[in-house]
Amino acid sequence: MNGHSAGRKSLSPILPGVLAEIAFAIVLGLAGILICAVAIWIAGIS
Amino acid sequence: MKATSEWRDLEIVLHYTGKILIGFSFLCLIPAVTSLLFGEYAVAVDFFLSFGAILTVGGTMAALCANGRRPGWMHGMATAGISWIVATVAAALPYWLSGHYLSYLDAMFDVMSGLTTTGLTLIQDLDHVSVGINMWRHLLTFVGGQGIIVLALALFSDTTGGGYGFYVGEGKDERLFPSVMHTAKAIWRISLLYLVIGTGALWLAGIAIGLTPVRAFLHGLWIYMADWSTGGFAPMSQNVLYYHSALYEALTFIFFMVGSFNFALHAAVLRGNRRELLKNIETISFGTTLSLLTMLACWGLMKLHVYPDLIALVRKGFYQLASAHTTTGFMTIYPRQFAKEWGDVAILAVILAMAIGGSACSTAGGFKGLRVGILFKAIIQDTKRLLRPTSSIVVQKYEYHGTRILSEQQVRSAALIVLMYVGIFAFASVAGCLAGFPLLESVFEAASVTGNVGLSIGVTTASIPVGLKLVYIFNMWAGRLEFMAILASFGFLGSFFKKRKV
Repeated sequence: MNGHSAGRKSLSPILPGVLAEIAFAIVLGLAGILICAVAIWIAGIS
Repeated sequence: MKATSEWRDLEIVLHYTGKILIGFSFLCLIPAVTSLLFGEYAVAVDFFLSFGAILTVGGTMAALCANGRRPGWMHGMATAGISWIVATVAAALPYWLSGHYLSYLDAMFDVMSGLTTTGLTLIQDLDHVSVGINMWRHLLTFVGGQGIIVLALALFSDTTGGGYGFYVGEGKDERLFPSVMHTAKAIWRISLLYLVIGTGALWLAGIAIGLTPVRAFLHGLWIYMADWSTGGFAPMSQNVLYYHSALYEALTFIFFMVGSFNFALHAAVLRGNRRELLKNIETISFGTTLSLLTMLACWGLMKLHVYPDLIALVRKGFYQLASAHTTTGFMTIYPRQFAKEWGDVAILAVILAMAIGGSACSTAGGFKGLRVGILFKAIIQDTKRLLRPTSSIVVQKYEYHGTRILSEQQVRSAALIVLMYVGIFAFASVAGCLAGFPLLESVFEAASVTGNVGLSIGVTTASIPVGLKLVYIFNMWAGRLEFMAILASFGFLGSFFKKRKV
């Protein structure tokens, strides 16, 4: 297989990839929520 | 008269700019047909007129300037820079005909804001804009996110000769495939795949919050187009705040996060290399700066007791910060709340987030997480050099689609682009102050236009001076194309006129 035909390799199966990207975005969101929760907690005890 | 070499170079640039205009003219047919479907016949006429005018100008340029020569690197770069300006002038025509703008410059401002995925707007009476105009606004931002040159490359097969110059000129420098045309097509395939997923999810969310199915579909489609493109336009003047829905905010958060990823990362993950998400220098850099700036913003907001409970802090504080960092510009607060409620520390966190921005070769703006990561690695490398014997060689590695060794050229390139960003950011800040706005507000708005973000502190309105509008248009353009195409365009035109004078 030459380089050019390798470059034409299809993007399938794509569903696990889509789910992985969405899961990664959700993890970043959960990290943000965690930081906000800690901020609220620190403000509450100080 | 025999054509000189500089004339032939200009002909190549104008020929391809004309071709891009031809492609652009066909985009007018989408809102034209939409307007017909919704019975907005006057709006449809505006779009058909614009289609005819842009097609005629583009076709004339392409035909008159055809000289049979293939474009080189320099032609591609100059075409990228010039075509964005020409496309902005052309695409403003339907806006101007709609009567929703006070001047043609305001219409051009909104086109540049849309194409560069900034999201600031000077439109009048946004809440009563026709379906056709709203379709045009969001279509521009969706196409601009992927790149108008990328669209042309995906459509026109004969530009492959100097195609890489066109592609790099538009601020993208990663090849997903060996052929630049296959890369352009892959970018569009990825974007259209997510268009179906995102629109479907937001459509259902819209129905769940009480919108009619048709309205939920249109809002879902438009919000998604702006979301994925990290654009920030919305059909209502209250932006995402209009929906008052945690579900809508969560979905927009997910899609602007994914939209801010590098297209090369999308391609790698969709091909099955999911570990790249966790080890890529860009995602690590983005995750780190997002966490640090969230802490800073939370500290500032909690100190002033702006949002006393977790839900408000997440939906108002964290959402705004994430929207700034991905350079989306979606808002769940009013612009003046930044100035009146947030306080200096939280605003500073948002300004830093807007300046850093999302990923290289993505729809996002800012000087990009990749460059932050590279400069951080360079600092580590130089620190190691200081601590080790002068004879030792320090090799610094980083993960970016495989293990790479940090080179001086990469550091220099990253530093120069960051420096140029800071330069035009300072320029827009000074322009804001000269127009009479307070320093913090000028700096905030300058970071927003330069990073193609779209968050506003209330500075950008139709009443700002013409000079400030022009500065903002320039910054959006320069920030989106990342300077190379701008410098090439100025150099190309300067060289042309210099030779003509001699």
